[in-house]
Amino acid sequence: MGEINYTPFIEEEPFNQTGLSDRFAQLAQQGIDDLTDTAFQKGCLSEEHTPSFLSYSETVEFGTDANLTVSYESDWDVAGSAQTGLTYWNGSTSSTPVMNYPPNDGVWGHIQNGAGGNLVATLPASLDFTQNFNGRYGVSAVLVMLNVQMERMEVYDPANQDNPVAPSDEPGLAVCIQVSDDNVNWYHLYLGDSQYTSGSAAGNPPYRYRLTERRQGAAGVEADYTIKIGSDRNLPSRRDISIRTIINQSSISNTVNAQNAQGGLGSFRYIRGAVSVIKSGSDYNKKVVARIRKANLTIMCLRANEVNP
Amino acid sequence: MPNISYKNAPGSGTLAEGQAPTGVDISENWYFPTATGEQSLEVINGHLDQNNLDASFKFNNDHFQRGTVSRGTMVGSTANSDYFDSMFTGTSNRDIAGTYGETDDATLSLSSIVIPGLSVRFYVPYASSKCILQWNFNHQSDGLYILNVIDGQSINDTFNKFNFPSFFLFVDGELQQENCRRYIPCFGAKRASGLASSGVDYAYGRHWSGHKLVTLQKGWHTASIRITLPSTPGSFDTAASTVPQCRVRTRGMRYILFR
Repeated sequence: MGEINYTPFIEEEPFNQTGLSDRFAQLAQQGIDDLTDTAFQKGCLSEEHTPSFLSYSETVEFGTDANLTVSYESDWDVAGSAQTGLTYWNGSTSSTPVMNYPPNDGVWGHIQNGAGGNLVATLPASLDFTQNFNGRYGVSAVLVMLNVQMERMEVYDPANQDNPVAPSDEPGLAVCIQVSDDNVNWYHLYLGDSQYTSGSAAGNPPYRYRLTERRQGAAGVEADYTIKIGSDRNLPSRRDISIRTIINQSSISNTVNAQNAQGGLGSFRYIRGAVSVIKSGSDYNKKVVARIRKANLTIMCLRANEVNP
Repeated sequence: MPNISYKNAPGSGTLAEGQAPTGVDISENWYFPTATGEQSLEVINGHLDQNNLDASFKFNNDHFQRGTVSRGTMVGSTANSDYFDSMFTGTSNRDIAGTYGETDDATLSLSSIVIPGLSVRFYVPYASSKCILQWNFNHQSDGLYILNVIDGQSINDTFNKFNFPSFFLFVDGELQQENCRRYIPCFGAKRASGLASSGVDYAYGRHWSGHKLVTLQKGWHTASIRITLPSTPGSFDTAASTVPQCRVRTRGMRYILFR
C-alpha cells in the first residue's frame, strides 16, 4: 500500500459499521501502517530521520618509540633444521621458498606496541552477516584500514650466537589483515574465487590468494647497512604499507579450516594487523628480525548495504 | 511507536453494528494526542517509526537528502613542491638520548610547515561525527647516504642515517603521534675513489598513503601534513644532519564525515 486511498461517503450512503470500519482501515492500515515506496518522496529523509551509517567504529594507534622494542623474529632451528617464529616461507628447508598449505600458509603474529598491546580491534559482539543481522538495521560490511611503517630488517647467524651478519638476499616483511572469533585462532581473508593449488609448493606463494597481504623488502643500501646493528652506518628502510579492505559475508565464507576447506569461520569479533618475516633465498637458515615504527588500524561497521536495495 | 490501534476500535463498542456512535467517538479516532500517538491518526505528527514500514520495504539512496548522513571532499595537487633547508628553523635530527640517536617526533614537528595540497579546512555540520582522513604523496630528497669525500670536506662516513626529511599529521593544530613519518637519505654522493656522484636514487624516495579516524564536533576543523628538514651543518660526528632539498610530488588529502 503505502498511500491513503480514501473513499468519501457519498450522498445517501448508509453510515453504518461497515462503512466506518472501511474508512478507518483505509486511513490506518493501508495509509500509515504499511508504508512503501509510494509514500516517500525522493530526498524525504533528512538528518533527523536517519541513524548514522556507522553502527560501530574503533581505531587502535601505536605511535611511540616503544614500538621499536618489539622484535618480530623468524629464526632457524640449527639442530632440527626447521623454521621457527614468524616465518613467511615456513616450509623452507633450503634456499627454495616453500610455504605450508592453508590455513598454515606462513606464521603470522600480532603487531605490538612494546607495552603489552596488540593491534587488534574488538567488535561489541560477534558478526556473522547472516540474513537476520544483515537486515534493515544490521551491519552489512566492515571497512578496515591499516597502516604500518616498517622501520628496518636485521639479519643474524643463529649458528654463531646470533651475531649480526650480512644478508645474502633482501629480507622483508609481510603484513595482512586477519579476523578471529576468539582472539586466539586467526584467519586469512582469501579472494573468493582463488583456487587451492595442490602439489608442489615450491616458489608458489598463493595456494589461495591472501586478499589483504602486502610485502615489503629492504633493498640496496637498506639491506647492506641494516644488518650492522652496532654501527652508526645503520640505514633503515622506513617503508609504508597501506591496506584497505571491506569484510563482508563472502569474506567470512572464504576463510578456510584446518582441512583447507572454505567456511572455516562462521562469525568474527576481532580484527588485527598481522606480520610475518620474509627470509629470501640463501638466508633461509638465518635469524631475521623486523622492526615496526608506527602502526594504526581502523574499523568501521557500515549499516548501509553495498548494493542499493 | 507501533501501528495504529484506534482509541475506539472500529467494529466494536460504540462503533459496532447497530450502535450509535457520537461525534466524540469518531473524532477521537481522527485525533487523540498521546505521548506515543498510536491511538489515532495523530500518529503522523512525528510518531511514525520503523513499525509503520511495510516489511518488504527498504529505503534506498534516493530517499536521503544530500549531506545528511555523510559528506566529504578532497584537495590535491600534481605540481612538484620543493622545500629547502633554509626554509626551516634548523632542528637537528640528532639527539644522542633519543631512540637510535635521533630527535623525537614532537621536537622535530615544532619546525614543520604545511604542505599545500596536503591540507584541508572543512566544516562539520553534525553535533558529533566520525571523520576519516586520508592522504597520499611521495617525495625524494638529496639527503646524502654515502659520504666518503665530497667537495673537499673531510667527512666521517658513518653518520649518513641522520639526513632524512620528516612528515607529520596535524589535526586542529595537534600532532598525531601515530602519523609521524621519518624517512631515509636519497642521495648517493661522490665517492673517495673518484666515482661520479650517483645523484638522487629514486628507490629511496618514499610514498605514504595514510589514514586517521577522529571524532569531531560541529564547527570548522583543519588537517594537514607538514614537513620539516634538518639544517644543522657542522661536525658530522657530533651534530650534523642536513637535507638541502626535498621534492614532494603528487599529493592529495581527503576527508569523509559520517554522522
